[in-house]
Amino acid sequence: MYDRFMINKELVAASTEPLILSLLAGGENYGYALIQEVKRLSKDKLAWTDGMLYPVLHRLERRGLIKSRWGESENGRKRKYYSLKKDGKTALARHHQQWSLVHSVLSGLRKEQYV
Amino acid sequence: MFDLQKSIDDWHKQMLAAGVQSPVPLEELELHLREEIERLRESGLDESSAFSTAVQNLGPVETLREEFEKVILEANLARSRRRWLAFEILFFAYALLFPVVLGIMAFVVSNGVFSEMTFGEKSGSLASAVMFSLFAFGMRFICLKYPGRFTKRIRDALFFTVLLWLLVLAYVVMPHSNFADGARSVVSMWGLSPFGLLIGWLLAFSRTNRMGSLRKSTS
Repeated sequence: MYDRFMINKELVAASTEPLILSLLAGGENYGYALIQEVKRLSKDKLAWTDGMLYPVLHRLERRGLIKSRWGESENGRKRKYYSLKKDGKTALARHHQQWSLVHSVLSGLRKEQYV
Repeated sequence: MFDLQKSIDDWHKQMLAAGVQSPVPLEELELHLREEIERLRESGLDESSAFSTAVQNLGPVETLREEFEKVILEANLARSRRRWLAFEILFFAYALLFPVVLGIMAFVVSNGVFSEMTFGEKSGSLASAVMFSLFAFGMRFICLKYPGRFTKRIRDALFFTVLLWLLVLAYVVMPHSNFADGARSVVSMWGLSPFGLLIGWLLAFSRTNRMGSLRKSTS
């Protein structure tokens, strides 16, 4: 059944980049874990199509915001780890500013309606 | 009996056939698929259902291919932007530094043809180099200000004229006139200065292309 609290496709697409950068700000991580983390934090309301994360990661890497390295998990599984670069931190700060602005405008408008 | 390895191999072939060919993304997607299958198996699904659910969760192959293609396209545009920027810097430096280098050669070092020249001849050479730069930057300005009006036909007509002039200069004017060495150099340099128009057009052309690829990659 369609959940009315699910976040729409456009907003999911727009929030992918800041979310990935925010998650990587907490330390290096690999694709699968990033998706699971977003699902957990959003309580499955932010429905990412799993495969779509990878083109975004590759784009961010090409733009020099993140970097990657191949490594292994504790159980010997091969993994590609991503971490934030300096430019990525700057981009993240910019995203935070923009999203905070949108949030404060929306909150302000909502308050006005109830006054 | 369901064979997980065979199913993953088949999925791999399907992805390759659909055009997700770049080895790194495909390897990464396969690792993701395996991890998701493992998680679904732990939650109680059998191998076959876990595989089909994991493939479904990855998303439609066609959309995935399109998204990876966009990444490659963006990278190509960024490369083309860098290449045009290099050309732009090169032409800009050439147009800007030509009079400076010539001035130094004529008045400071006085080497080559400039050693025998009078002050007037040296000044004339320098003036021709300045004219070359003015032609180049003037042409760049016109091309960028009136991109629509400055059609390819006008550009070709102008280049044809410049080329014709250079030929007339080289094969008619210079052989049939009796200039002294210094004067000959000054006349040749003045004759070559319209060549700046070509440099100016190249300057504008590389800038237009760079901005074009910039717009494409941000749209």
